[in-house]
Amino acid sequence: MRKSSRHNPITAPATTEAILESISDGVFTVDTEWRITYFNRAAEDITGISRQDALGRFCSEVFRSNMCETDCALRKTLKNGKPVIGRSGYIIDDEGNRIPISLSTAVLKDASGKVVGGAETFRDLSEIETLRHELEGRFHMGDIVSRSPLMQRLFEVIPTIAVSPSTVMLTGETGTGKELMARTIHTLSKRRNGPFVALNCGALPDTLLESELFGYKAGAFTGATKDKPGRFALAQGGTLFLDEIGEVSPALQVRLLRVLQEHSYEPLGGTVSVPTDARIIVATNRDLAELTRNGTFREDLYYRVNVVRIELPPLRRRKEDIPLLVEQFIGKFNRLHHATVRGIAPEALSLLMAHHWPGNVRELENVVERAFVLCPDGTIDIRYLPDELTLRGSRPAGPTSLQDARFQVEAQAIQAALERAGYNRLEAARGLGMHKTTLFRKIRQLGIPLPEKDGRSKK
Amino acid sequence: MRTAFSLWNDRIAPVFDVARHLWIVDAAEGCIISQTGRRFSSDEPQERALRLTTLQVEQLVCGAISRSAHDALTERGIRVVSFIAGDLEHVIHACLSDQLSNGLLNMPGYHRGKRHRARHYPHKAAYTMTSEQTQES
Repeated sequence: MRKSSRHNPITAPATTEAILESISDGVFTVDTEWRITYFNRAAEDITGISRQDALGRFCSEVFRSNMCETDCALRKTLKNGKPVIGRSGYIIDDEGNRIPISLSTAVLKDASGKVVGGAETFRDLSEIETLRHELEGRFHMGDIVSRSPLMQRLFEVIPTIAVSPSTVMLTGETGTGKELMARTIHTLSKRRNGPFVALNCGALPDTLLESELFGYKAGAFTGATKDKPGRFALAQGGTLFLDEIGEVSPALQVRLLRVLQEHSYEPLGGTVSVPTDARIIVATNRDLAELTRNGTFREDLYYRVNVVRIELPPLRRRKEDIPLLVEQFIGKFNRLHHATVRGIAPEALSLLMAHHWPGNVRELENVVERAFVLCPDGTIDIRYLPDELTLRGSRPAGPTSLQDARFQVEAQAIQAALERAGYNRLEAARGLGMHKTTLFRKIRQLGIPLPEKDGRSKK
Repeated sequence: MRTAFSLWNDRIAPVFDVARHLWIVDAAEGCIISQTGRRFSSDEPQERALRLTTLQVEQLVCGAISRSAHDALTERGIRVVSFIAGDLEHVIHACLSDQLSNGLLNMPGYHRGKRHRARHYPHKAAYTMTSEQTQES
């Protein structure tokens, strides 16, 4: 526990001592019981621990690295005799700062070749990390990373938008990072210390959505035994992010409009208006202007939410970001999965660059995560990419008749038309240029799955 | 009082942020009522703080801890006694007898309230400590 008198400091020859004391890399040595026997000047400087405090103590309690407990490089070196070079990690100083370091290890032997301990050299990477962050900062906005000129233009205006109190509307295809952008705006705003509350309006039926948004009072309906605060109340002093705003029913649109106009609302079963100061950010992957024209979305609400509009480009229009995004995802999944994937092979990256990415950044992230499952270390190559990205995916699995091929194409076309029309079958039939009864027959014949709630209720 | 001790090889784990094991002690009037071991499954500060909250831990005794991990715990009302080193048995005993603050079990170079920052001394000769020394047994 305390210093041990048995663990005597190493006395180096004068020349060696002078060299070790003059270098900027930290150096310490340990005996076979992991107690520190030498601690140079740079080690004192980097760790903030004096030599006299360090000598004789367990190295893990002096060095305090994230590697000590589960992944000690010196332990590995002493076990297999092989040095470790340039391993990255961090140490914690007594003010709780994480100091980034890189370290190398070696075995210490006496004149007879007997192992008497190990040596570890380490380098403070704080300045390098600061410079790296500054460089990366040009391509970062919060957690969003991009080199694309399209996104760079957004990066220029987002800080200004963030500090304004205006309602923001985010548009863009699914998977383009609308929620991430909303979080970034919140983080850059004066409300950053307040809550960020997100709600997907398309995920809940109308009645539930209403109580989720506005909350309810005890006795408002059967089962409401006590008051429940809604998302507006939870987002007080912060930001409320309403995703898929285009899916909200006309009745609820009226209530939302009132909140946006009057900055107050009434919880279900309540009789008194409750003020709200939550900043509203909405998002949709649908064309709200078109929905307004065909009467699905209220015009007054559209103008109320369309104060500041940010359109997030699809990944196919910012393909130059794919290498940067892949690098970011590899770093993320290495941390999450405790994996050691080094990078992606150039051929695999070329395939990623050639893909159309209908699912955008989310699809890319899923592809990288899938590769991690199959390849926890080394380099991601073509073998670990899904079939639809490789030539394997473009070939039919087996012999296919002409009729089967026609059914497949028909099913895909009908599915796409239904999705475009929000599962309104009459609208989908019009889009396909066929009668609605023909569409119904084909849906049954081809076994196309439909949601329980059809698109008619949105009208 | 329920206290958690971050544990590694029968000693206080050197770095709480990555510690895998906890030893949880329930005590009243300086006596142990019950004790048990638990594991962490995440290195994420908020998840670790949530884990301790779920385990109804009121106080954590640990080794080095980063500021983000420390803040995540104190925000949840958990008292943190950090930069402690030593055999688990000794640390539990010191904790129950309210002697953790006397500095005997501090990590090397850590002087609670007195920052002995070797990096602040510009010349090698100045490394000799002039303020109160860590007591050694």
